[in-house]
Amino acid sequence: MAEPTTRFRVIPNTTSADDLNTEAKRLGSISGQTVVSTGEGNEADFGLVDISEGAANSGVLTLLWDVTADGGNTTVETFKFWLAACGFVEADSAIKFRALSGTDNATPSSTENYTANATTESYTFADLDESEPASANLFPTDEGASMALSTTSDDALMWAMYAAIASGETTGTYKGLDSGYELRFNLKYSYS
Amino acid sequence: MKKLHLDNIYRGRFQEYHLADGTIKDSRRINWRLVDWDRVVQVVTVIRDKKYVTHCKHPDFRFFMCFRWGGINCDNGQAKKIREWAVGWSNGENCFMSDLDFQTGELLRQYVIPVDEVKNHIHPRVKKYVISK
Repeated sequence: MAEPTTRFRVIPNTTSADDLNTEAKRLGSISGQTVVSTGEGNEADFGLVDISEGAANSGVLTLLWDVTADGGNTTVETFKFWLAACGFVEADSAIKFRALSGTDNATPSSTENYTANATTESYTFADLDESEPASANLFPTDEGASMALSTTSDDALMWAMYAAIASGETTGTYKGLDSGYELRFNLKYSYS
Repeated sequence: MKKLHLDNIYRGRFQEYHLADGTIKDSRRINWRLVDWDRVVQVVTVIRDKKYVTHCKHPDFRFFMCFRWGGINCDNGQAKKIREWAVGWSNGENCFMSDLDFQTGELLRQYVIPVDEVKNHIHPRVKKYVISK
């Protein structure tokens, strides 16, 4: 068996909820999607946050993660997402996070249903963990612990996040491994 | 003897499943899901020149757990793929696991994880006993 092949995608904030309300739609090509990775210039981009007049937030990013080749494995589960490091010096600066589901999940509890044109008020965001969470914090839309693998995963993980920047934060471009301006995330999953 | 097709990442990396009747199944020759898991009394994990033995001597032992961790980790200054082999045992409620670096064989961590967090990695031969609880 081999390692599963996976991908991260960012989708436009304008994507309608109806475009994400089935497993097939979430796994398929979503209009305007961008495949992102750890490569330089290929990152998810929070854009510019202007703190010249005080604390400010970035726009909301919606990301999806799925398995594109199972590598001979049958199950993937225990999805943990956390902040690896950030160069923020102000305690109030944080990455806010919310696990999402499609609207085909009629009774979300560990997630919230995706909303088009989301703002920082659209979901109940919490600070993203800065160390490995004790338990899974991302879920497929059925909020099960796992996704079955048969060539691809049978669903995608989805979450929203934004950068909340304190007024006194050091200005600059935060990305990757840049010293003092690091901004990196970890994603971990189990498979067999 | 017929062997499984394995990626080259499995060179020098395998598990032996010791059964109660003394026979030994080898992960290079049989998929672990096809092993009589309820008869396994010891799992030996070999990564390069390091060997780890997981046994069933604890009075609460019910079954062995084996899976892998994947993903991306940037904690140590660079983006690095997570390649870990998790092996351990369960009492049916919690799993007592050791994570081994798949590249080097180093023991990375030992921890307890609720069986619900990894329940789909329970071997199909023993899963029915756990799920029916």
